[in-house]
Amino acid sequence: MRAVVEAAGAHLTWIEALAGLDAADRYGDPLPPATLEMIRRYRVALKGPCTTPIGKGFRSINVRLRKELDLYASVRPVRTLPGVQVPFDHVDLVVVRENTEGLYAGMEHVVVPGVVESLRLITQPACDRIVRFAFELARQQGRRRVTFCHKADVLPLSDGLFLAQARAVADDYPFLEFEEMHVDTLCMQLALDPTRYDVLVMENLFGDVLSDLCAGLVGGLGLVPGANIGSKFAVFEAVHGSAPDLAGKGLANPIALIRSAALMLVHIGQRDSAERIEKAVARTLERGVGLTRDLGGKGTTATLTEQLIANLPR
Amino acid sequence: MTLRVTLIQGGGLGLDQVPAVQRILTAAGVPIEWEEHLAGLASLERGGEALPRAMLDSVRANGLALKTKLLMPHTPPPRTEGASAARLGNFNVQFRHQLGLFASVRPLKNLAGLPARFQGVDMLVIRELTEDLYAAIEHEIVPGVVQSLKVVTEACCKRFFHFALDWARNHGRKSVCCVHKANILKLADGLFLEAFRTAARAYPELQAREIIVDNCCMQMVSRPQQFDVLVMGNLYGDLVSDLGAGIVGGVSATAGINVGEGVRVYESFHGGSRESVGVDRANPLPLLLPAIDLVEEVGLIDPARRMLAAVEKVLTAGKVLTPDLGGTATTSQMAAALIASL
Repeated sequence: MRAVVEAAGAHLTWIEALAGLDAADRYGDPLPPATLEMIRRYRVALKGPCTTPIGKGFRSINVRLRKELDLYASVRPVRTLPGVQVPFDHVDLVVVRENTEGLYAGMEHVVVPGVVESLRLITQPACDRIVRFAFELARQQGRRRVTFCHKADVLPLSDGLFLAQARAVADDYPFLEFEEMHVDTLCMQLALDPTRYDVLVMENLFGDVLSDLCAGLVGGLGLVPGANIGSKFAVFEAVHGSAPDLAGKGLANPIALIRSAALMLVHIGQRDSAERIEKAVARTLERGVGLTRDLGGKGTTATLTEQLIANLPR
Repeated sequence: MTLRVTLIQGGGLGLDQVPAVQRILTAAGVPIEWEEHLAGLASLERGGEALPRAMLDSVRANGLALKTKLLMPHTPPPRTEGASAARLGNFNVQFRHQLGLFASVRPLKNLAGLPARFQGVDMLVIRELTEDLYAAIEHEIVPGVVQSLKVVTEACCKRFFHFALDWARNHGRKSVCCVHKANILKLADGLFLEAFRTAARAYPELQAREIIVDNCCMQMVSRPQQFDVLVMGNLYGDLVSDLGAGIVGGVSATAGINVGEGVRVYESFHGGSRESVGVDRANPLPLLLPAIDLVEEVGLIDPARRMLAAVEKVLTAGKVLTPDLGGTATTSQMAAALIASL
């Protein structure tokens, strides 16, 4: 990733910090205070994939990062890439997900043995800022429509509140289209015709599911970038799993991480370098040389990186 | 032998779908005696209740029902008050609750002649219906702060998985995959997943698999053919079953079977107002497919196969289709074409 970003002409100084299983082994904490402190100081971070064990063990690092740094918006741009064989064409949408509330606030308890409650929290300020974020993103990227997705027919209080707030914010943006959809209907429509969607905004759990669904439309998590953005800090990340079975073998596909770095470059005002990276990714996938196994090639991280650098626009 | 089946008319497109489906079943020689009842908007418009007691009693007595989607009254909610849209509750959810329907089976299979992004899909999505967030236990703590509860109980999980695994085995399925988010919801989904693992041990002939819900949705739009039976909680089931419908070509290819103790309701999940498409313009397939499933499930295999073959013939010919399928035919014309193809 670093080789490609540097070759693209980005002006960056990298400062490395540990998180995940390695950090847990060394510091007894998968998200050590020193790492958080560094992100707070430099404001912007790029994060590699971290694994969270199922059903036990430590809380997800991603969830903790979002909470500690108040990274309230998760942004997943999803665009059809040349050379990637999928049954969907011309997809170009952004999933904006509320990151701090919903069921993922981590409030669960056993009421009596065999009976568990999890709390889904929805607050008006959080609804307001995430929908506003989506509209601002639409405006800045020259997009036309914001689709708010919910389940207010079944959850009249929580999603009713969210919906009312979304409508109130939409009133501030009469120059952009606003659309409301039930989340189940949206799932079906995305499988039928994803091309008609532009910016999607929703709460945490729906957003988790929808952002991965949308990634699937264009070839999966190995290709799509991600960002978690708050009012002070931003953490960019490859959202795929950490694939421990591939680690250290030089076979991992770096594209999601490289494109996440490109998103970060846009965020810090180095748009030219970001665009060069995106062009190199498109050309490399189109030419299909040196691709890693997950992309149907026989190459390695090194051959793919080589190709990406060679395909950077002059 | 004549079967007694409750037929529930929920209004809107159902008003056109019901007579079409009745004609087709009669033509296919299915000996059903219908007990027709109104519900939802159709009942409200005649001055009745949304869920009339006689209708619910009829379903309980017959144990079998065919149901259109129950429409809500169409006064649009005021823009300032989002919550009011749902003050009445969702009739379809209340219906399930009243009858104690605890599981929903959604068969997802390609139909010949129906365009779809993926071919070769043949899976079941089985969804728990009573718990999770959709139990809709909510309260406003202070203005602007709302909590909803996701409830998971061991007792409901046990009943659900026992049903789902039985269904999978009885229908000759090979693998059952539990869809969850236990990496984040360690207690609630942890309990659900643990109950699945325990229940699955009693079904050694079925391969037990597990998948995280976000990954499941991604796989659904990349390689849906890998799935056989998917079992999951209420909310994930809502999303995944509709996503699955999209994958096999949309509402025309979907049916739902909602199950309670001694009760099976075959449902159309697609409805809407007549105003949106016009009178006699509704696609009959969203109600015909659950009707075919009902006919097959009671052992009338031959008429079920003949009707399904007729559906595929009409879709493949592509001549007499309702507007939502890209044609110009009326509901009655499409029903006639289906009958002619039997």
